[in-house]
Amino acid sequence: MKALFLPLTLLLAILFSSLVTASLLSHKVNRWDTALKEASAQALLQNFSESSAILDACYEEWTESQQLFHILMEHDPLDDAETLFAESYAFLAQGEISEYCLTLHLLRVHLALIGETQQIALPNIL
Amino acid sequence: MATAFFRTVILYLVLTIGMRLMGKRQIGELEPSELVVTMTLSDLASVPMQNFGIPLINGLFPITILLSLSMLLSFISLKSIRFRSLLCGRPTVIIRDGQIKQQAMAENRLTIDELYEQIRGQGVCCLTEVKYAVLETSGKLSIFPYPSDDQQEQTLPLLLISDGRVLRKNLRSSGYDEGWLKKAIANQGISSPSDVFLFTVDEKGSIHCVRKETSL
Repeated sequence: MKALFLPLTLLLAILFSSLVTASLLSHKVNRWDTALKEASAQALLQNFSESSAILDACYEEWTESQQLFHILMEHDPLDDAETLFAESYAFLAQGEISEYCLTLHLLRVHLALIGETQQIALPNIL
Repeated sequence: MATAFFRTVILYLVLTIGMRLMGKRQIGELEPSELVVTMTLSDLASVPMQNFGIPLINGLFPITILLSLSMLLSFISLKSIRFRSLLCGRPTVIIRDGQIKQQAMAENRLTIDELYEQIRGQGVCCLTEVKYAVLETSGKLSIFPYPSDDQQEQTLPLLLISDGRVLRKNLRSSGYDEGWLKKAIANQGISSPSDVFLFTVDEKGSIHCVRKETSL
């Protein structure tokens, strides 16, 4: 039975960490989605400072998660999301609200796709 | 990550079954499951090495999963004869007492040219010199030539008890029954087949019995 301990422990540890990662990422993506939707709504109401604050909070959390994400995921989609964050800031600074809202929408879709890649779902496995 | 976990498990099982279905000839020296691990490990290790956009964990996790699965299957194979034969197959006698078993050759998709090639590879030039030829689970052909005049005649031993389990199919094909087996192990001073690690009998009726160590 001792021979079973190591492989079973390794398999269970990997499975458990996979489930935790999927759950954590899903939680984060949902939070960012809600926040970015709110940032977009505030911008449409001309509350630019409020929108900027929401975007800042979102970007701060995104930056904090970067190390973990770079360990777990392919780097290209993460770099693309980083670019969309930068574009959002640029459009907000220039006051181009329609472009800003469009970019926020693209960012939400992109983050949702990143989150989806880590979910335990039949389409992902197959 | 979860995707990598399930994909690796599925791919490992599919490759192992695939290698098993391909038959022994295709394998060479390794067991099917070992070959699958060898084939996949090199690719898994090289992809994150070459592509820096892929996290290292994408290579490390599947490698760990494969090695763990391999260890698990080895352990189950050790404990279950049925599982072992399912995973690795069984050795097949291709030539018995100089007679070619054509049915066995067909089942293993072994052509006469390949049989000759393997025999020549072992320094035997003619089929008539071969008393036994066994196609091992690794795909290698073991050759037993007829003994020369000064050598003692060899016969192929048949495994009747393996790690405490009586192989009833082998017992039937050897022409003996359980009563004879019990008597034979009692003559060795062993009360039950479960205390026997290895018990073989050859075509001349010679017995080889190894008692199971109590610490195992």
